[in-house]
Amino acid sequence: MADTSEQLTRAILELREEEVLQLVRQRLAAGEAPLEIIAALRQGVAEVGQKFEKGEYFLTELIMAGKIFKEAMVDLEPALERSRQQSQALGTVVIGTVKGDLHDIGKNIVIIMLRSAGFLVHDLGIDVPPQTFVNKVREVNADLLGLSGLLTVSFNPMKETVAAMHAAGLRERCRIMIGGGPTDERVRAYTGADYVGQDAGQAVRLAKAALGVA
Amino acid sequence: MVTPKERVLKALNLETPDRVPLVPQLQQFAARYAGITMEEHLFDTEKCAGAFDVTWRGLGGWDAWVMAPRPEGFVNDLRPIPIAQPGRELPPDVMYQVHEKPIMTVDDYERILDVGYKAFLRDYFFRLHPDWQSTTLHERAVLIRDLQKAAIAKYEAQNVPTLVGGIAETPFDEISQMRSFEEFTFDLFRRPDLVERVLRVVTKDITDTALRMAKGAGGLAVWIAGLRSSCAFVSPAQFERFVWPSIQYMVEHIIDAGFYAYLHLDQDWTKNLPYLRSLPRGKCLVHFDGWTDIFKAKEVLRDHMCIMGDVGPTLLTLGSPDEVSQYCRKLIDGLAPGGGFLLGSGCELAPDAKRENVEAMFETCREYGAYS
Ligand code: B12
Repeated sequence: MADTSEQLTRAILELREEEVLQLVRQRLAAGEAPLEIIAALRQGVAEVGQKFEKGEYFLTELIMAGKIFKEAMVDLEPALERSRQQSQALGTVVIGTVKGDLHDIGKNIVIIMLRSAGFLVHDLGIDVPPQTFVNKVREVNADLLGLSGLLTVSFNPMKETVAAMHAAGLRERCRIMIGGGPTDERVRAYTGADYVGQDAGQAVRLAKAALGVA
Repeated sequence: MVTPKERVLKALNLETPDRVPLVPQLQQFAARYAGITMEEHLFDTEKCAGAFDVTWRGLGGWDAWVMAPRPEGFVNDLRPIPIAQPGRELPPDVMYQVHEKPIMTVDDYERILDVGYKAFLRDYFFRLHPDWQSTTLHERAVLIRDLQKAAIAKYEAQNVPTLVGGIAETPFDEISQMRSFEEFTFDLFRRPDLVERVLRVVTKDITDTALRMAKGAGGLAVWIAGLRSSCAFVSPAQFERFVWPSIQYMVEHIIDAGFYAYLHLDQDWTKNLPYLRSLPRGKCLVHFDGWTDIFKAKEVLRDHMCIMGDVGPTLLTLGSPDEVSQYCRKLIDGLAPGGGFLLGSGCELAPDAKRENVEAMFETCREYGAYS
């Protein structure tokens, strides 16, 4: 088994889409536990992420790896349900691009990295009003809220979302991190968020730190 | 008295003018400054021109327009992506919004190869605007040309040049937006040969169209936008295959037609700087948006290509006048020596920039930017 796991990890690392999907189907047919297959896939995406951080891989490669992972999960999810296995998430994250802002390339990268690191991520998409964030955080009992924004006019909706979390009494139990091109420490202070992340790797490190997981 | 035009031309030609030319890419900020709505700014020719004039006088002028001071809304209509505009799909006083979704399909690649990009676009625009008539596309292009021509001539009469007459994006950026960034990324891995062939066809047609616009409207340069085509997005191998050949082709033809090539480069191009060095000397202008290391760019492109930039959106909106002034001094110290530098905003000057910050930027350039 270790062998095919390695093969799968390598196939995703080298972005061989067909091969990954074939391997996943083969292993499912052979009766292997879906969680083990997922672990091998995650390992692959995580290695792509590491190469990305080292500057050996580029954004398009990370996005392709995320896509392959997502496609493989289409086959894996029914099997997961049948086997009643639950993957143990490191924590629950709600994320979205704030009201008025439609940029999502960076946010989607952050999601790929968070998921492959083992977080359960609820993506609210783009142009998300403050109250929608609040409702989702409450509904899924999220540990962390991620706000993405690439426009300077997004700083106010970010600030409003932080305030809405306060008003809803959720501010204490759910940390808030912001990110996206023009955000920096100054913007963090302005919005009242807890953290600001410069890139997807940092988003994962911040999420782990915020939740106290290694 | 040195005129703004002389000043800008010297910098473009890698010489040293009397002071660093001030060339902000000032567009939507004028609406905020003059107190008109975004809808008026985008569609009302007279109010738009009035707002630009008020801003020009209020801030004491500058040395060149980047885009001609004309309403941008009509130009947005001719971009091959869905754009929601204020007063139409949006409330009258918000910024326009680009909705990127895969309106172009995989089958369209073959179609472009069959009929050519220009013919393909004519059909494609009906998908975006089902209400258009067969003549609309042409009429809109003529309208924009005439608006640009009038706006450029008006300021040219005061010796203030406009840089951009013709507008293009790299074919990679254009198709990426029509396919949507993610779908196009998958295409690069799943059908690279097809994409490469299509980009070659598109390159020629995009260049033709931009040059036709520039010849009709005037302006010193033709704009080539690279928004998502640097190594902040693609691998060097992908850059060399899907991006760089188009840029080389476009630059060469723009220069042949007697214009400067204006490379408007968003996001981080630091890794791509050595490529720029191989473009013809003294014929290109490169504009960074604050994400590329502009000081590193000076090292690589010194005496080769005029550099413009890069006072960015966060600083102009949340910073203080002191901080803005400090950053402008740093830019002037690092980039002015030896000439070939225009002080400008990072991409478009942030629409919600603080007025006093823009004033600090302009004053610092005028005072601290003198070559003595
Ligand atoms: C691609 C792009 C677009 C695409 C968006 C496609 C899409 N689906 O996202 C399109 C063409 C649609 C677009 C539209 C517009 N854009 Co735009 N766009 C860009 C561009 C070129 C690149 C952005 C990008 O994708 N970067 C790559 C990703 C990977 O980087 P990133 O988003 O920063 O994400 C990374 C980190 O920031 C971090 N991160 C991101 N989110 C989060 C969240 C958390 C919680 C954490 C921890 C970290 C994190 O991790 C990511 C991965 O490492 C930037 C230029 C720039 N310099 O950024 C302009 C830019 C953001 N756009 C800008 C503008 C103004 C617009 C428009 C208003 C139109 C216009 N005039 O161009 C519209 C607005 C639409 C709207 N309402 O949102 C300006 C904003 C400036 C300002 N004043 O605010 C920029 C900065 C260009 C500029 N220099 O002027 N744009």
